[in-house]
Amino acid sequence: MIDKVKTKIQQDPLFGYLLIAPIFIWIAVTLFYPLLRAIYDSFMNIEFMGEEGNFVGFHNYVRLIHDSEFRGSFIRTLIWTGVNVFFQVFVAFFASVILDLEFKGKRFMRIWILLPWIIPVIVLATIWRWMLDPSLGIVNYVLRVTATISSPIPFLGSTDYAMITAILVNTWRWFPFYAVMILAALQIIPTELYEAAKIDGASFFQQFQHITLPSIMPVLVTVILICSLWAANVFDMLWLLTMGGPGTSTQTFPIYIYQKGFQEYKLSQAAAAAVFMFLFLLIYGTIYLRNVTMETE
Amino acid sequence: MKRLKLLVTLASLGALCLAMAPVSLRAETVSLTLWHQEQPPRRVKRYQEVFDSFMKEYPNIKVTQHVQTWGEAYTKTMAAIRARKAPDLLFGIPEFTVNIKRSRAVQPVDEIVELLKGKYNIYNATLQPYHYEGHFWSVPLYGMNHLLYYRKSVFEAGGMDPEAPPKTWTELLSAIDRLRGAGVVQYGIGVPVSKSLAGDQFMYSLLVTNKAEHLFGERKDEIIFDNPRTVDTYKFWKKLYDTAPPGGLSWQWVEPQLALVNRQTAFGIILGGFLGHWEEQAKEKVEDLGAGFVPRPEDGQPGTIYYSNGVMLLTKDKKKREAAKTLIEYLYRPEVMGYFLNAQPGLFLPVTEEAAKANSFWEDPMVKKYAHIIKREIEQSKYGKLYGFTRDEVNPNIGRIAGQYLLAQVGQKMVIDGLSAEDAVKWGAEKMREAIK
Repeated sequence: MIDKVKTKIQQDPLFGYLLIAPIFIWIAVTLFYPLLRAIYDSFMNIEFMGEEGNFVGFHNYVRLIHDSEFRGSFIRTLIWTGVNVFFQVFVAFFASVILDLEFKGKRFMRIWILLPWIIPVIVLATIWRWMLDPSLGIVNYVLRVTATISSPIPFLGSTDYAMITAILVNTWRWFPFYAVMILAALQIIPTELYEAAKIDGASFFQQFQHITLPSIMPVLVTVILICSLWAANVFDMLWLLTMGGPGTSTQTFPIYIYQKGFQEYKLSQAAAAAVFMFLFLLIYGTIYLRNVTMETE
Repeated sequence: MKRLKLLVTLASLGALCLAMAPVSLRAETVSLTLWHQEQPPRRVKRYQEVFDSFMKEYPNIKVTQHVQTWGEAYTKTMAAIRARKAPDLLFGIPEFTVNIKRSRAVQPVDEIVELLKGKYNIYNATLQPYHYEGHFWSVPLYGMNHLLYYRKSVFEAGGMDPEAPPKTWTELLSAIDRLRGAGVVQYGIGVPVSKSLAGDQFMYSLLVTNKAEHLFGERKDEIIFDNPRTVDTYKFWKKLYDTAPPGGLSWQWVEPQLALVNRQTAFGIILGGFLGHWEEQAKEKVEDLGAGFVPRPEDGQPGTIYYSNGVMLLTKDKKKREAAKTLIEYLYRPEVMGYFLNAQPGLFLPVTEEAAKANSFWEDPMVKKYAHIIKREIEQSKYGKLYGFTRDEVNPNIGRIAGQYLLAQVGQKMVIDGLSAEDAVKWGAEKMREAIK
């Protein structure tokens, strides 16, 4: 059946285009149109949704540069993304190495580990908010009962702790996804390589350094790229946990854009910030793919 | 015989044609779509019961309710308006109405309001936020406001009269000190400080009691938020915050309620929906719950934030407008409104004197239980105000300010950045001026 389709496409390229047309139309409608519309809106002075506005050129972009809140959210986005990537990849890698070992209950663990990723974000965020509450939450209760702390810690209610707490919750949510990807890469490494290395007297760390790491590097490179792009774009978990607060301590770009557009009713400024974020991530992704994948090859 | 058979056949064919006749030949059914933001299942169920009862009386009008969250209400409504799929009727609060009105989809409801005013005594506080530019833009359906809640057993344990809640700011602080000092409670009062509607609401109730309810001056572009009374209110607020449990920077509505239920705090300035949580969580004698007016300074005034929740008309279709008018008139019948309001007993308050006396309102089991508290709520609501809607003519600029939760943010500036009340209020006023520029 597939061969028949392949032959048909070779004979009649138009048929191939027709086959991929639906997905292209879908991408055009759901991706390109909103993107082009956002770029258009960023050059206007639209405040409320539905208004037409007037053309103002680069005024919104100039305002962004002078907006300390914008600069602050940019820095916070970098911190949020960097630390998320570090924790998520590290924990995912560690988890995948464990799950690659032979032990009783391995199958159950491989399924159970996906739980944080399967549960809807709203449920996760609500559970964590309550668990982390300084007065009513179990985390503070356990810490106090074990005399680890003497007074409750407002994990999400303090500018000192909110960001790192949100990062840890987000890591807990996402690491299973990356663990599964890395585990798949670990599983296709030929065991003969490890056996040969053992015979040659290689230690565990030497095997890891010279066999495991190089073998899974292409997957790790992809995981880091996906992780960083997705982490930079996280809105749901942060909004549900902290709404960008306390103050602006967890206000990353997506939160800033949402608040600007739908709370301050400055839609064009929000669009300008969104375009800026898009360009930043595009440049980052391009540089990453060019340099990191070249090195991998 | 043949003729009879022919007649029967023709009659049957005629009946068949009539049954298959297009809708326009029969009495026309008008469909109304209604969107609202009251998500709890109890409220949705109660609304459906009321609508079902309405449709029984008016079989030619079909009412369909759709529920959305407050978080998505603005974006979803505006998107629907743009797509020409707007609902016919939309529930909302005053600043929401101001914002949606910018789309030009909101229709004046003067004739409906005048009709209802002719029949019922509608509380002016519920109508006033919806009257500007010479028209009414929403018909009020229910109100909400704050009370000061406390546990009588906590008062007793602290040697205080359980029937005498504090009436002034001084008395409140004194009561907190006494109860904490006696070891009866660990904290004074739950203070929501998150950048949210809950934070704004708590703050505004205090501002109203200190006669600092105006954000705008007489001119629409004039911000008068930075005045001595506002500063004093924030100073008092900070004193309350210093007695609050930790984590208030992430608190919204539920946390102060649970803190009171769990005897962590002595007081809570909370909306009436608390009664539902008290029922579910406290599982204690109803007599233990006490409520008083929101305390005010010695030279202040009785007051609370007051939300008049209304229904907007977004349809221009004549038949739908008539059908909507019929529905709203139906909802205003005292016994219907009484039943409708108990979609959330204690939270939704009557907007007419007649509904405030309706048997269907007071006979609800929960309202019966907490009648003494709900009567106090209704009494307090007469002194209710809403920021941005305190002048005779509503200032449309409130829409730009309300969404930023600046009242709560000013408090955050004091707590997070350590600003003085004067500097924090000044910052807030500048942000408001920036917003309306």
